[in-house]
Amino acid sequence: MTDFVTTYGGTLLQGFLWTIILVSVGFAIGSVFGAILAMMLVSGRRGLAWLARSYVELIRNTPFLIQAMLLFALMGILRIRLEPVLVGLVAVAIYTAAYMAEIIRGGLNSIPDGQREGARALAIGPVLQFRLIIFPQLLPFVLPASVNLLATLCKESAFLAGVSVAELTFSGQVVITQTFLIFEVWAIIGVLYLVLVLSIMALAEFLERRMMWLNPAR
Amino acid sequence: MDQVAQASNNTPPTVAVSLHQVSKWFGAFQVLQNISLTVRTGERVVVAGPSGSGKSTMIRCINWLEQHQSGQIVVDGIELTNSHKTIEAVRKDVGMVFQHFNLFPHLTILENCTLAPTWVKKLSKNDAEATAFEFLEKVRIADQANKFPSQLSGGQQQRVAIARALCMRPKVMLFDEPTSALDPEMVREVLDTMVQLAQDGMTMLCVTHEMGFARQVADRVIFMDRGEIIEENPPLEFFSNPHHKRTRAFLSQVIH
Ligand SMILES: Nc1ncnc2c1ncn2[C@@H]1O[C@H](COP(=O)(O)OP(=O)(O)O)[C@@H](O)[C@H]1O
Ligand SMILES: [Mg+2]
Repeated sequence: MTDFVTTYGGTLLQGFLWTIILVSVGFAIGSVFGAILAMMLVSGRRGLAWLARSYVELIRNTPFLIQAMLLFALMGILRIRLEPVLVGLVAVAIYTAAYMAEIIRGGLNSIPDGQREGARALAIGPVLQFRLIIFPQLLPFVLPASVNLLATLCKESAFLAGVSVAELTFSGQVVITQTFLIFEVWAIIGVLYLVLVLSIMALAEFLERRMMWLNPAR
Repeated sequence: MDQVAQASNNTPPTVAVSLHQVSKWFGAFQVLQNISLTVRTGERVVVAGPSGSGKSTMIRCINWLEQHQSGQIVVDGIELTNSHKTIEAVRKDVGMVFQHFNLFPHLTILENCTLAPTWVKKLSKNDAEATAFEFLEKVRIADQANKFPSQLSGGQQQRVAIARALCMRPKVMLFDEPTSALDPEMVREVLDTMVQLAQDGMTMLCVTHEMGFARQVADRVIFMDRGEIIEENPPLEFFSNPHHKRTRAFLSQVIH
């Protein structure tokens, strides 16, 4: 057992760290684009909304693995040489953006028009309106949903092993080809995913309890 | 109507709000048809009329929540144009109370009242809170200052909404059916607050079906139908001798 840990522990740990990096950085970048897409969706401009809607539906209605494989193939066609992890990260960002757009759009739609009108009647301009009225009411809606998305991403990112991204699942495959400890390795991998997802959920609960602090109107 | 037009042309300081030949369309539908109306400082004007006649649209044009397409609107000497500065200046002068209160649910009653004074008028926190308590006491709800809107009854919430608007020290208050969304037993407390406000000399333009309130405080009652003002009279005349047959039909419905 100690032999196994000293010989292969590093490989698995490295895979674990790559999964965390892939998912967290991809999620962060994707969230920014998701916010932009959400603004396009609610912009009231037909063309922009249609463009954003097409993107969102395309991503939400196809498997993540197929998206990743298409992205890798596209890189090949365009002769763009990138580290597989970077391509994986882009795949995660692309996926996140679509789901985040829907989360934010849903949040924006859940805030009644009366909120904006109440603010406008008090001479509160658009920037302050967003900061003081919209954003704080968006948070309790967006935060739990994006944490769920993050947890989903952790699990979906396992598919990136299929396109040779050296993340956790891939490192499991590597160790298995060397040890043939199929059950043991997958059990360890499973536990590592479990730990990751449960930590995210715990963090979310902590944030939700602190949400009051995140109210910039205070 | 000629008098109204003159009043809006050189806007003497005694005119709080004037609308001159204001028209507005939603698509092809003309919702306001050449509306002319003057509200003098200290005056209380009640606007009545059937649902869909354009009452809300008219008063929402006064603080640019809706934009008129022709005619002229002057508020406290400022003509409304599509410029940020003008709109902000007018909105600082005009308080508005909505049918559905539109309080900010993520802020306490006190914070609802101090938000705009601190961020828009740049009052210090202390000054804003002092102002807030002054008006929360006026609407008799200061003891609820640290609660959230959802913890209050509808009548209480609407009184907070009135206080919140007053905290900006507006020159005119607009009311858009402030009691229509309330349970019957809560209408009185809101009307009492509005009567008190009228007695304090506030300039008020109120859309309401509360004809008792109109009788008690209005200097004039305006009757709107299909985007037009078809009758404008002091309450005594308005109620005892309605000229237009649509006014009579309306009154027979709302007065039992
Ligand atoms: N944003 C809008 N777009 C299209 N039509 C509208 C809009 N707002 C109001 N209307 C229409 O304008 C008319 C007047 O509405 P409103 O001013 O709310 O009347 P009131 O307050 O007298 O009931 C109604 O027929 C209503 O359907
Ligand atoms: Mg209305």
